[in-house]
Amino acid sequence: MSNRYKEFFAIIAVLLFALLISILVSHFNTNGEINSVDFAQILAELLAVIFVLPQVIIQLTLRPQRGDIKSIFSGFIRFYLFYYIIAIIFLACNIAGLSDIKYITFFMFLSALLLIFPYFYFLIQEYSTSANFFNENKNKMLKQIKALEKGENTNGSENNNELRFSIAEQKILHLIEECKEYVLTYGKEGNNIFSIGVDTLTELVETSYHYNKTTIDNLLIEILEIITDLGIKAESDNFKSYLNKKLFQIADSILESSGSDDRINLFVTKIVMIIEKISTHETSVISQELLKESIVLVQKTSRTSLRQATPKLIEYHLLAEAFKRMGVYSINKSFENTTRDALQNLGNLVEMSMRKLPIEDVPIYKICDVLTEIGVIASKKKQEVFVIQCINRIILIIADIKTQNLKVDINLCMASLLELIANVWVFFDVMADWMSLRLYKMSVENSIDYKEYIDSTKEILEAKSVISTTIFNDFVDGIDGHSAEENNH
Amino acid sequence: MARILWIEDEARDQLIEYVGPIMRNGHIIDIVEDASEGYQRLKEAIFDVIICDLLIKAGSDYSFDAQYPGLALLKRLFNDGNDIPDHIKNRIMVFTAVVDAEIIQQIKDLGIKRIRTKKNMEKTKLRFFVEEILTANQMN
Repeated sequence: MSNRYKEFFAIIAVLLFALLISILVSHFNTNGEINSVDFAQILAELLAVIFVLPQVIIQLTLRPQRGDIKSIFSGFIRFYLFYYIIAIIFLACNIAGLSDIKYITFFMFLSALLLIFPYFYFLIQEYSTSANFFNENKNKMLKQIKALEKGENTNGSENNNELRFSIAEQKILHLIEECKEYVLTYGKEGNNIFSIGVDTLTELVETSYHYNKTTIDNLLIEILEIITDLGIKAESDNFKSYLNKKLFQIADSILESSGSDDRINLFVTKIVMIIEKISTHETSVISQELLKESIVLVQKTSRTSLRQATPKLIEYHLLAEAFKRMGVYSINKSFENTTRDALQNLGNLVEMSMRKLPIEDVPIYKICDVLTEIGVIASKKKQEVFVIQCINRIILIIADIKTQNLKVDINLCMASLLELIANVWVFFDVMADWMSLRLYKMSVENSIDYKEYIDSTKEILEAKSVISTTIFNDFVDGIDGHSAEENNH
Repeated sequence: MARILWIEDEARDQLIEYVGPIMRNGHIIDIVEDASEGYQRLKEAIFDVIICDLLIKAGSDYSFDAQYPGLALLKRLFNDGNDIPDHIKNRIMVFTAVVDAEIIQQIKDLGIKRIRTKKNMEKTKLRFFVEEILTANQMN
């Protein structure tokens, strides 16, 4: 139940409670007969105190609405004025010593009930002013964007290093910023300002995407940056989740649309990275549930793209990067379910793209690297199960390359595998026996002898970093000794 | 190391405890939550063990929208003009809470011998079933 409704019901409850108290008190005071004067006085006194309450609630919770502050307050003032006039009449009658003032009591109570109506008024007003604000801004922005599409007001300049927006474009960005600030300031759990605001912004992006003009594309990228900021700053996981789902819908509709792969790639990968950023940002406390949802959204994006009759040629390595970041975040937060989901999706991504894309577009090396990176982090966190998963998933990829005889440089994949094994060997030595056995099994089951790849791995790692080379050399020395030891046993 | 596909809508929450022992054994387990996705994954990759529930969601493909979408999936696999050899059939295990004799018979008629019920099972039991399938298939 929203806070506004709770307030509303609280006031009704307080009114009924006041009525009950008045009846009871006047009943006991008059030995079984209700004295209307007592009753009226008690009720009036109680109401006088109680009706300070809604005023306080209104003052505390009222969020001034742009352009409508006056009308909302005037609504309240009118009703309060009515209440105070009645109260004055009552007091006058009381002072005059009138014996029967039950009609006045009735009017008092009625006026108190009428005070509820400003709440209704406020509820409607809150919705309509926010909706109007966003609608007006959206219409203004769409008008400006349409003008840009027709080539009007494009006095901005573009070159390789600098992107300067025209005055018209800056106006649009200013309106977007205004919407963002409005959503962040007034969007709370219990009202629908966040969803109205997000709907407005995402509708704007979706509509503008179809104009297909470079100037507008640049502007849209900038708008997406503002939306990213909104997602990062959104105060709850529900808001982040809502925004992510809306962004996913845009990516999905872009993937289903026709047009150049470059343009589709630009927006889809951008949106995927935004979803990842919102779900893993360090300044927010992210729940596993939100992360799980975000992984599913990226997964759906990759599947929609790859399962089309003609798959879209987007940069799948960026999708792998998104899975990696969500996987690493999960490991750091000890979210087992989402770590497993991220690893599964990396595996699925390489399998699906191997089936559907030209081999040069399959992000094999990237995914091997990513699995190495995740595996190293998992080993540092002593999460053995995920280290095993990473090693096994790389071996699976290498085995697939061998079986399908794909034109892939297997040395690079083996370098990733051996780099991971070397790191685990050095920093998580309890797994040494398992790794030694795993490498042996790989040579038997997949006919891949890691020793054949030691030199190429050294070369690759030397180009990468001195630390990686040192760790790898330690591993090579270590595994030699380990094998000799095992042979002696 | 084996590749396992588990088609189960509760595998990520209520039945999550069964996943750990399988992963700790070094196997790679992919979880999909509905029949449509299960069908897609089976087309995309080769799995050593396929565990399938019957009461799952149908997913995006409406043709799986039946009383038992898992059964609809198995029927599609076997009747899709696919001549599935026995060694593939032996990789499939139905893991379900459904005990309806008629349904069980329909699964058996498809040539699937391994049908296990979920009732009162220890969390390492699924791993045991997986190992059983792998050993039987190695021997064949």
